[in-house]
Amino acid sequence: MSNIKIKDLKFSYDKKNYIFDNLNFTLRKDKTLSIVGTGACGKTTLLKILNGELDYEGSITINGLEVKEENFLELRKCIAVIFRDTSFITDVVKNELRFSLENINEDPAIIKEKINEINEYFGINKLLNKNIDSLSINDKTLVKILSYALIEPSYIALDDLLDDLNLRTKILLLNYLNSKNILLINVTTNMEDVLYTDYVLCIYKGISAIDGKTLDVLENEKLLKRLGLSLPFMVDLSIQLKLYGLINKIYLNKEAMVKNLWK
Amino acid sequence: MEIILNQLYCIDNKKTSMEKKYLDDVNLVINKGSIVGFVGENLRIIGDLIMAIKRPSKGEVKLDSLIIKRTSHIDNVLNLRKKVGCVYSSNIDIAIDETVKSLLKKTMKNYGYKPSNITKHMVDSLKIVGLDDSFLNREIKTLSSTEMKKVKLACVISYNPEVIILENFEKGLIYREREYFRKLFLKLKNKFKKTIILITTDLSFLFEIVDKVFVINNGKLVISDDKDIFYEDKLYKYVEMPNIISFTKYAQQEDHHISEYTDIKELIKELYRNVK
Repeated sequence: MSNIKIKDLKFSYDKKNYIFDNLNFTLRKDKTLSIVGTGACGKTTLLKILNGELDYEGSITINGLEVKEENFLELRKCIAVIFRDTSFITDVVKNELRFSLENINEDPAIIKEKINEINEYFGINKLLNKNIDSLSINDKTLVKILSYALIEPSYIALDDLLDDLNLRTKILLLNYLNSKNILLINVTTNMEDVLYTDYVLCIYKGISAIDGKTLDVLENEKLLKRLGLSLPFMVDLSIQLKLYGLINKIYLNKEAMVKNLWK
Repeated sequence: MEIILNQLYCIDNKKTSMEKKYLDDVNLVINKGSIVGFVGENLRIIGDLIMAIKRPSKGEVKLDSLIIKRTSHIDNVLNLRKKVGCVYSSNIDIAIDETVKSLLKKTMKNYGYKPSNITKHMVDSLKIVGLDDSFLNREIKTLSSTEMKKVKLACVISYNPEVIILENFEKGLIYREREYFRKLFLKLKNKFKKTIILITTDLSFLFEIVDKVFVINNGKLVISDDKDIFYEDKLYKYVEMPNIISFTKYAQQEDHHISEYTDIKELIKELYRNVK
């Protein structure tokens, strides 16, 4: 049972301008989350706080564990946070994947087994012996995420990384995380990716402007547009066509939409 | 400045396990005062080639009368680099201990640009990218990633280059900012005759504003076409199809006669006319 509770979170870098001013949010058990918001609203800062990099006021618990220095060792098994500038440690893909597992003192036989498993799942046999520097952005991002996913934490938090993957890899990765019961926390500006998660948290000026189930949040079209965010294409189209009275609910796939539009 | 790439090869560490192929026999022309979109991997190399930071392995880069080859001598490199501004996606080359003000000053000094009123010029450069003058005293390390992007563009604009190259600029920007910059690029092209090169993986950022699209796949130039290419199938062998195009194409497949649009508002009007 995994959950995250954020209560009265206060944080500022310079003790003057508060980035978070009493942010309250609860992520219910076994749900995935997207964090959206305007530029410089503190999306990355929130992830840094969850990772334990910054001191904060208020309380944050992940799986019942308070985010503070004494709990860091256990917290690493609860949450893995990957930033855009998280760098690679070794030079070859195989070593990079092994490294994270060796780091938690895993048995060499299990390491081999796990790497074989993802090798089959993602079909990355060609990549394993390649130099990381020579990979494409898509493959680099995949290796970066997988090296953390192999540890199998309860949550994996990505700072705008999903956007770097192509559609095929993205779906594969999401299915993989799902099969391993790893829950995704995705910080994004690409609103299309919001549809992959159960819940959405939209941050504005230090508080949660709106949060809840994904479709419930997206139906607040006016608020999101006032913040400068767009809607996912199919949702936007559905809402507009609903206003014209052409359809009566939100369709998320184009086949159903076309079928119901010209009936 | 007209840019011509002539039979250009650019390969690093050839015939080793570290081999990295950037460009493989590429021929193209980028006209003065146009916006072009490059789609593909590792295309930061275009900027490096034009600025003569990196030399081609074979072939030549022609910039007006100047020809850059693998071994050719360039008399005044600064004169060339002044004309080109690059906004790359990595922040490695920026010292984080500076303030925005000193970064802007340093950039202008490095490129030999001397405005009469330097503070006003700095404020104006920031204003163009949508930041106010309070940013002058901000330290670089306190900027968020999107603010950093805008500051880097302001630095480039501050020395007034002829060519502006942007790598993955739209990543991390919200919808409103994307639209703002798309309009800004059009204005820079139409009013100030700048050449703008957008390197991206997201086609919807290029809709309506580009004059030409080049797709580079595994180093080869596979598509070089004008803006009508967005509706053609051959493009989507190499690039992901934007949702709006894939919706229209699916509806057409199902024998509904709707026209193609890249703007959602226009599409909705078209659907309304068609269904009613």
